[in-house]
Amino acid sequence: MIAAKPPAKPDQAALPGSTAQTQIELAAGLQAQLLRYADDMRIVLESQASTEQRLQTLSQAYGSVVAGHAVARELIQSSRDMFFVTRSDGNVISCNDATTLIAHSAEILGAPLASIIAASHQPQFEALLTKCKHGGQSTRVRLEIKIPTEPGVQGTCLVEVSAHPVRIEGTLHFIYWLFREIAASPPAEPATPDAIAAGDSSTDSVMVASPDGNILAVNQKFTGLTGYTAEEVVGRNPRFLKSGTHTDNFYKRMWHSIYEKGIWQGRICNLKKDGSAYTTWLALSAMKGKDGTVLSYVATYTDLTPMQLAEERLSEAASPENLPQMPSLRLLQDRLQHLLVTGRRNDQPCALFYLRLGGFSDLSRSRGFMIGDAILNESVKRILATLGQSGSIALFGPGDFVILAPSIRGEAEATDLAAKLTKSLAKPFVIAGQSLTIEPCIGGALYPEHGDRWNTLLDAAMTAMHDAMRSGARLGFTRPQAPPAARVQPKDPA
Amino acid sequence: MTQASLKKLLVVDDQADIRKLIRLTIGASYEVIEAEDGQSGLQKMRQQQPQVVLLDIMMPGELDGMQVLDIIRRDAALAKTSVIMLTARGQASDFQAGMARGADGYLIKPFSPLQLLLTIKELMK
Repeated sequence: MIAAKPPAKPDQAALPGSTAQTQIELAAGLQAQLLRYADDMRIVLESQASTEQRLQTLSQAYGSVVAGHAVARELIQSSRDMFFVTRSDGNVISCNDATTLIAHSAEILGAPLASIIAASHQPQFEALLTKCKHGGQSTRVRLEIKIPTEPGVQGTCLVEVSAHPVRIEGTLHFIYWLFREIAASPPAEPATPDAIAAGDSSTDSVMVASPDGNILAVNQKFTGLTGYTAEEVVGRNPRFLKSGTHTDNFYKRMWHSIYEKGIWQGRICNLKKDGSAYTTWLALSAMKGKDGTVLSYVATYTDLTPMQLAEERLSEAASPENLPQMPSLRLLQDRLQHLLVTGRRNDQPCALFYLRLGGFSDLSRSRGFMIGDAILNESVKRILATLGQSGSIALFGPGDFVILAPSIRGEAEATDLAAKLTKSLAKPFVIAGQSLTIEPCIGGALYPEHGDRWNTLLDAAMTAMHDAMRSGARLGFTRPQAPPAARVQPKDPA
Repeated sequence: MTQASLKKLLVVDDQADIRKLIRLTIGASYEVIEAEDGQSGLQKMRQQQPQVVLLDIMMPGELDGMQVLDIIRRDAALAKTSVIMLTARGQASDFQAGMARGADGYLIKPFSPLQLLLTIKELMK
């Protein structure tokens, strides 16, 4: 018996072609698998490049953080405030040099921060620590801490403590503690409002108000000026003094100045108890504490004499705000006084002119004040251009100017200048596309011919101007025979 | 990490090149045991107790991958072993049949080595 060979697998023996096919399929499968590996390798390589890029970015960021950390560490070390880092259990793991005021760092490190807190404030400290542990954010409290005042003697010191819990993924890791010493001695009591009111000025009226604007104190002068006693005004808002003269914008500007500069000064018109109005010079200032918060407002009212009021009115008309190129009448007067003094000494003549822009008031009313202001500005430019460097000008009233021209010798020279002035002002003003004309008229007075004082000369010039207007002329001069002294004001400031 | 402390993984596949690829892919992280058919695969499972078995469905011999899976799931000593089925057939019926018989994962040839790594890592937890 012949043992038969075990039958071959039909797919291998009988179908050699199929075996080759299988081999091809296997090879194709393997190739496909290798390609898949290549695909994944590309993904891995790209991911690696991206990771390297991120790593580089992180490395740079880490460098910045390290540098910032070094600066922060230096700041913390050199700070006069005490800085501690504790773990969540409150045990100190780091502190700065300022903490040596309390104890040597070797005694602090590892110890509970509570050990430096005065016994009387332990509950507050524990409450703060508990708050930090249970999700609280940065917190500030005032606590007393123990400090050695002398060798072996413990004192206490009041500090403001701010605690900043540091959480990583919701878990409390550290707490940063900042202890800032509050003045060892009690802070000086701020002066009482009464003391401020009494001591601020012996001649002026003084009112002290709280930060919310209510009157805290006034002095005797205030009562004398307004008629209100302290009992009648304390606790009230000063707005009851308002006369209604000033606009809301006036008060807005005043308070803006107070907030920005801490002070405002200016003329203010208020009402007395009897209902009459009075004008004073008000200096309103904010008194601030060390931390910059307003403790009180102090208002000092300086009385203005009737003469000062008249001058103020005129100066205001020629204020730099309205006509920036013009000095005030007061300054012009001072210049004239100076000229008169030096003129007497050196025999130097001068002329004073009173110039009116005829029809200005009507124009200003009919065309609007903007047009009026534009005419005034342009007029000032023309006058200054005619006068040259040595002349001075001030606005006296609506459309009225006083002009001082030094070194004018005789009526002919003065007339020549006056003619030039009226000629320049008679030319049309082209404003906002409109051609407008005014009728200038000028009167003059000469020093020393027509007077040797401010009031005398001003009065003479005004008279000459009025005479010229009545006669239909544009300019005129006071005749020497017209005694100007008859028109002078009773009080001569010279 | 020594070889002894690595978790074990058994690859049952009749293609030596595939086994080699898998070894190259995961050999650094796991101890790879190889078997070329279902019968020897079951034998090595009982001997080596791998945590994960990578099991090719289409294999020559008496047992294909599905049959081996059935034996594993019925054998109390092997039932807890995680099994990842590996096949060239990417058909839904294979996937559903394998999962219905208790497979823990399923990879289609050509498989992604990254997907292989993730699947193994997940089952080794």
